[in-house]
Amino acid sequence: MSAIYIWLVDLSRVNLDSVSNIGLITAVGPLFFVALAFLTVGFCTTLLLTPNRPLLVAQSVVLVMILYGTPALVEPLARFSTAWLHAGFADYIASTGRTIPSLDARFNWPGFFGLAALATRATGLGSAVAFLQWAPIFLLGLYVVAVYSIASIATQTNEVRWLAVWLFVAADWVGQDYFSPQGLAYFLYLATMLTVLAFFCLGGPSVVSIPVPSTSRLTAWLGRISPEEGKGQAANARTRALLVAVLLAIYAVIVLSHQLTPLAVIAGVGALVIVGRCRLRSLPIVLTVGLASWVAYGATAYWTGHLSNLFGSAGHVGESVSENLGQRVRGNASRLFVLDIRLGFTLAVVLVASVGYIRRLQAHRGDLSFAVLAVSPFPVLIAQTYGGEALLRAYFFALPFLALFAAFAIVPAGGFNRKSAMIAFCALMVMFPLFFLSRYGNERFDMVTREEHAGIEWLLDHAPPGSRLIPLASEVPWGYRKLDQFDNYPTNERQVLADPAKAARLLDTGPPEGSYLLMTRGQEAFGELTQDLPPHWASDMASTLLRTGRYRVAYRNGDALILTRLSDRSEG
Amino acid sequence: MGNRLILNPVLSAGLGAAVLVTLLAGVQTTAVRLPAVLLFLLIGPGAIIVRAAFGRVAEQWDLPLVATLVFSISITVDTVSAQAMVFVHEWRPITAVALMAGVCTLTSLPLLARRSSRSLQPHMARIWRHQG
Repeated sequence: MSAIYIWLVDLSRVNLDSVSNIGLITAVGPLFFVALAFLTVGFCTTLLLTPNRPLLVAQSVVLVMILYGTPALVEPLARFSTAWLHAGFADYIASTGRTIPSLDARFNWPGFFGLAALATRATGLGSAVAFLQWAPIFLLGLYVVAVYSIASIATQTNEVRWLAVWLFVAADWVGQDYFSPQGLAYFLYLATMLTVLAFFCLGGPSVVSIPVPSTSRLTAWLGRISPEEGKGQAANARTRALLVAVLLAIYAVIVLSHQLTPLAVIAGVGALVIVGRCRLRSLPIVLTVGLASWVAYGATAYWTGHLSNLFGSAGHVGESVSENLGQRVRGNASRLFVLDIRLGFTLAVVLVASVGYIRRLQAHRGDLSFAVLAVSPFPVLIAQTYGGEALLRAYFFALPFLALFAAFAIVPAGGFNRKSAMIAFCALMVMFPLFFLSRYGNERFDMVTREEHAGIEWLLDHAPPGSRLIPLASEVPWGYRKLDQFDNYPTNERQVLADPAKAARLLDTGPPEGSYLLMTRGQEAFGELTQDLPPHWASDMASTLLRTGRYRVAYRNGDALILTRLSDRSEG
Repeated sequence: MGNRLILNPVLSAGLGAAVLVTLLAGVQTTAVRLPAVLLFLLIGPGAIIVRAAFGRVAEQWDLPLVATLVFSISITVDTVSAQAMVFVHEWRPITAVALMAGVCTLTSLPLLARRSSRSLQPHMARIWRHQG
């Protein structure tokens, strides 16, 4: 209760003008971490004295609220521009019952957007935008249940299970739990892995069986089988057959919703089969056929002409790593600091998890199934660069298993004692600031202000259909309505339109309906942080363009500026 | 106990019926529809399917495992139903939810009937003994 009180007091003092180049951490203040310290003391004490489940559930809910709910409570609108675009996809389906596969690659995987459209209209909400702010809390809630279940299969020690959940929550800085297909597909990935681990690990006949060479020697070499690992849940042949049907149905939705998650599922199940831990030896083949079928028939609009995007990077590991690390790690000094923190934090989690795995090996508990699932997402890098994000995603997929081994590193074989409670407290208290820096380090451009939104609303209301809308960077929270009515100038995620001559050319060559150059606070911050552009670079560019006498200010407020050609007349 | 709560067919059928009534009564207030529909979408179909397909076995599994299965099956059923919006023009999502609720309620009727007959058996046996 004290933690909640202190947290709420801190939230009432948050000043968003204090969000700096290293993100939200400078706006929340020290009281925020005092609240987390109180909560963590309570958590460790509960584990030490009597692991009371309702109390631990309540403490975990508060943790998720503090770490993931803070932006929703202090920021005026939902953060992260991509989430707004996803709401636009959902609303387009809700209003037309159709997708536009040629408009955006994501429309070729409409599962999540269709579901969001259904939920939006069934609940009577006007737009899926209403879901954006609280989606991370909702999704984290689902993940936590699944991660606890996975930890329950690995160990009967209650303290390790709960600690694994807390470590997962504190290390999930990647931020894929926003209103997105990958956010929901990730929960289904966890459910798939959980079902395989709980019901199809070791022994017994397979429901779908194709003989494969014995892997027992490899298994013996890779690690010993722990007693818990093969325990599983009670299930007869009929139940297992039904569970396979459930698995395939869940996988179908994953395939229908997201491009990368099916690869992680195939890699995970494939790795379990290779080390002889999965009874469903032909399952990876079935899963691969399912993925190939959707790509071949359902997503033709995407891959026709984009084959090099899909397979061009296959096997080019060096290029993939360079794109995932080298090209992402750039920007001004503050940005580089945040990126270094992210990299260091990730490596630290992997390192502590490795220590945990070594400890388990020393205790003659190999936990091979969990170890291979901690490693299996990383070979995805060989197949796809995924726009330079594959490494982040691989860490995200591995995280539940890394968190489990990290918990084993903290809790000794003899059980949870005062020393381990102290280590757990210290580890979590180190992780919380790192989490905040890593996850909310981009807040200067991830945050959406009311003024920016007002500017975008004006643009969408007044620009005639067919107009060209030109952003300075990809970080624009638009696309949530009138998705298909404008000729949006495409911007690459890592490019910024900082050249006035190029901006003028784009305005001049736009369609007769009109051309609009949109400059917002978030885009300026994006250029400053990721491209090391000088402060106020966008305002300077606007002045340069206005001095030519060929353009005029169509709209202006504190955080948004819209320029258009003198000859263009806005509707409205 | 916890598993029984999630899997209880009475609860699931009640949930389905509540959504049906909410929708059929034409309640337009989002404050009423939002929690009812979201709750139903999140656990309704999953609870029914887990209860119907796995029955007593599921009651022996760990609660978080059952909860994960229920949530993931619900999301799966919802998503598959929602795809009708993409492939069938003019598909009304309200109809889709009502249809799901109806199917789930109907699915749980045999379970309800079985449970009712089981719970009635001792009572009926007493009557039969008394009668003769």
